[in-house]
Amino acid sequence: MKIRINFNYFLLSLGCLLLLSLLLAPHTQPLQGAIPPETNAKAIGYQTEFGPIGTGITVFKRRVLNSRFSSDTTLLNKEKVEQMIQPKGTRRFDRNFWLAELLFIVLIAYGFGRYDSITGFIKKTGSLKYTYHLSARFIPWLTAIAVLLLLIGLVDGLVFAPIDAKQKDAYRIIFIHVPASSISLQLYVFMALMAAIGLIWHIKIAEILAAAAAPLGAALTAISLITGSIWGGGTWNTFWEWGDPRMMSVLILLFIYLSIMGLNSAIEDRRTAASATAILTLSALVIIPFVILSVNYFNTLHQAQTQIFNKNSMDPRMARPLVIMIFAFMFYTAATLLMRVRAEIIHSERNTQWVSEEAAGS
Amino acid sequence: MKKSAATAFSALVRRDLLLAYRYRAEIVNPLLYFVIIVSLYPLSVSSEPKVLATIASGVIWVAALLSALLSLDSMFRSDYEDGTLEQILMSPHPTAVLVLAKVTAHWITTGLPLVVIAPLLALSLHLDAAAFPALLLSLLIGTPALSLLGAIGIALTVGLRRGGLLLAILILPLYVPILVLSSTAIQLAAEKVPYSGPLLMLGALSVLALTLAPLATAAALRISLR
Repeated sequence: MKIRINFNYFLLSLGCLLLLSLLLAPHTQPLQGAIPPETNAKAIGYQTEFGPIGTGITVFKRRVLNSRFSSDTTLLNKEKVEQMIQPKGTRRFDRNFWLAELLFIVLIAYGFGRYDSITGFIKKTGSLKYTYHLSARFIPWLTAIAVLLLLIGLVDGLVFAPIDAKQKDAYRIIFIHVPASSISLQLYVFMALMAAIGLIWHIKIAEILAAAAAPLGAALTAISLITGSIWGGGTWNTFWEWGDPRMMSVLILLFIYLSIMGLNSAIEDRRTAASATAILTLSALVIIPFVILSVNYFNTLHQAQTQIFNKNSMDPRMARPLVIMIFAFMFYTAATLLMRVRAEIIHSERNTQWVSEEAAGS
Repeated sequence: MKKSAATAFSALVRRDLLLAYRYRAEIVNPLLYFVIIVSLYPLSVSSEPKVLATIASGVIWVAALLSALLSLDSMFRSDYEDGTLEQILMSPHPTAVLVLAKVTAHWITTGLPLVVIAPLLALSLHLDAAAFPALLLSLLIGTPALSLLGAIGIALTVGLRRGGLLLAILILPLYVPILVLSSTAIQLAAEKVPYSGPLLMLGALSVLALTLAPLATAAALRISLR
């Protein structure tokens, strides 16, 4: 597939952008008066926004800040203000997220890379057979590690981790909620990566991986929503809050996962289905940064991301089981993904010689 | 006789507008649908002016969303059935530009009438007078994004026999940010505070859709017609 990009086309979009800013400029108003006096906008870290455009965005943020929630959960929460005015260098993404991401990718790459000839790996039906046999060797190990980590993590989290000062034992659902949410996001990124590879180079195994990831991702997102809702019911006194950007964006993520599955099952031809699904997956990738940033950008009911490796932010005795659980979920996901991939390979290759030999042999 | 992409663009827009003019039902039906949905709310929720004023922004935008969804099918369906779509894909001009022409024509025939008629409906829903500029602006900025994003969905499902419901499932999650931003803008305007923030974000989304959606639609059309 060739995508031709026309220069005129970009000029057109640039023109639209200019027109838009011209249209909107007179509608913005100065900062004073727009923001209630009890809030010191500077203290909450809005000073980075500039000019009349910044004012508009600030008012929008303030709207989300102030509107639907009582003040103790949101605005003048001292801890939150301190979090937001931290110097830029210290406000980093959780290293854990990237560590987990890296491990996951390395694992997949290790399983499926044919280091000797990458070009030979492409468009070879033999590679599917290779993958089928290789994954058979991987699955027991991945499953064993997942079960072991789950056991250690659950015992550590439910028994040995200290009781939270405010939430008492209710916080322990974090050991399911956070891993499920984290992996559901990572799986989407992985799926989009595989979709892009499948779309561009027509590598069959990438298409199969993308198709196998969608139901898993949907399940994990559902787990994240359900556990989050139970947790919220216990500690925020509300099971569901329509105004919270994090809940909304995760719900949309679930819908997107489901729509990807729907499209994939609606098209008969597997290759066409894979390409069509890939385009949808890549189009909806926009949601991922929104899900990740929604808690840091909009300051609402859902707390901002806790820095797991920061001792002031989280007790190490709580962080340890959490990290273990994230890895447990990752290994579980990898194992399940490979099982689905194996089933998919057998299905798509059912008319080939090696599958019938396999069937006769077993 | 090699002609530029701009010529092809305007020719395609003119052709689609002429077609829409000949089959006026294509313009009128989504509009009628829009009006009917809006009128269902006062009948079902409440006819109290105060209640209507608070829900007006959401009602109008939900109706706009649904009527856009209904009208999307006409964007590629008839072209797919009579083979015009294959001709479009085979033309030497960039498919994305031609797709943009189709989307433009679709917006002029379905999006623009909504913008024209929406103030009237807003008036009947007792929307605050201060919110009208925001309503018009959000519709002007937002409806092109509806057409552009919808084009991806319809391009993916055009080859399917039972694509209608699937289209709604594919597209509605992608429409949610547009809905949230525009109705927030209108509500802010009704409360007489600056509403440029959500509108600017809406504009950013629209421009993003304008730059990337035609490329995705072109790729999706190639897959659907494979």
